[in-house]
Amino acid sequence: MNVRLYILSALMCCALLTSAVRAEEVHSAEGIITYREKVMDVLKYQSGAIGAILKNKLPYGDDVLVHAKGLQATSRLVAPSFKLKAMKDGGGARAEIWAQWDEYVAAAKVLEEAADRLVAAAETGDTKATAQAMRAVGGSCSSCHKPFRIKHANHRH
Amino acid sequence: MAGGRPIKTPFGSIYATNITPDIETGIGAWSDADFVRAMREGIAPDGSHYYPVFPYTAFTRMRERDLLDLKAYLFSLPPIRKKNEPNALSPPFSWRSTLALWKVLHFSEGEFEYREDRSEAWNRGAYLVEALAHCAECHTPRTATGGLLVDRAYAGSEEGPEGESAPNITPDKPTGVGAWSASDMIWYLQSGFEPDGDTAQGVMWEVIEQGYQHLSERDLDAIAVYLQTLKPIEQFVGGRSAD
Repeated sequence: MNVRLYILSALMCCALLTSAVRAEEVHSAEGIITYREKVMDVLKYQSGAIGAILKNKLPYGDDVLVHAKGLQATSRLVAPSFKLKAMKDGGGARAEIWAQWDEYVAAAKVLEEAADRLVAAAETGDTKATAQAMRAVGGSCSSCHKPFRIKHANHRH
Repeated sequence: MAGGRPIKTPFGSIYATNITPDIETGIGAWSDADFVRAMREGIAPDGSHYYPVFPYTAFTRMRERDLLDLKAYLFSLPPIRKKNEPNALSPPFSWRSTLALWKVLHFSEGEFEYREDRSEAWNRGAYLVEALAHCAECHTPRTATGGLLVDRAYAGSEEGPEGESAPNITPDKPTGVGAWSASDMIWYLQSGFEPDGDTAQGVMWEVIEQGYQHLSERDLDAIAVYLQTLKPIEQFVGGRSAD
């Protein structure tokens, strides 16, 4: 009797643990991916806003600095937002991010430094220097995306 | 400029050659005529045919003055002694003699012709896009034998350079760049940023970083003017819309 009870208890524990782990994995993976996609979206929106001002020569020079500072702050969240490994079918993250974590962090650091230079350029109000600094920001994105992002089918380049 | 970079194609890898003015391993011994012939006809000084991965198919549209200016610039660079790498192609693609037939099928020699019925900016853009920037070489799908599908020019290709797809750059709204304004295109070519804030990637980023960012705004505007007049072609590259 004791043996049967022991086996039954052990099976129930296993079932509970398995379902708990599965639930946690599904939940956390979705949450992690959603969060880091939002971090990337913020970077895109800040870059898009700066681009919209510069390319259309809008008289919103002060706003460029606001967006540059936003981009600078968000750049600090890029590496930490990938600290927890989570991937999904059709997602953009390559496994190399976690397999080559130090290289990934170094690539994210390049973005942080480019964002610092962007803020410095925006503070001067020099649109030409700001545009050049934006190009460096774009370069840091591109050089990180090449080894670490899966190219989306709908991505232009 | 000393070459050695592998260019992956569906037919194998071809290695970029040394175009520094080194006499023995580069192009230092070339005459003006040699240079113009190579760029216009895809023929080396020894008479052999070049593989069209060297885009003489587009450079043939260049004006002679521009070709000679380009040669003068290349010859102003320091010579680098570096032997060219042998290409990694399988037969029959490794047989250069077959390129003569390829040219009959797919190559049309001739300088760019100014269109009087179009604006100055359009002509400038057409010259830049078709000749110097050779945009069609990556952004146009190809036939089984590697020729450009000219009736689908600029509609994008799944088999772009280095295994990357090259998107549709015709003004088709759902699948191309029809929703982009001229300033969107200029900013993209200057900075690498797309209208939504995403960035160019891979080979296109290199093209922007090493090429387009140095163009004058007037030239970039001309490119935008020309691209916006292309025939819109609906073609999803990568199986989905460009959104």
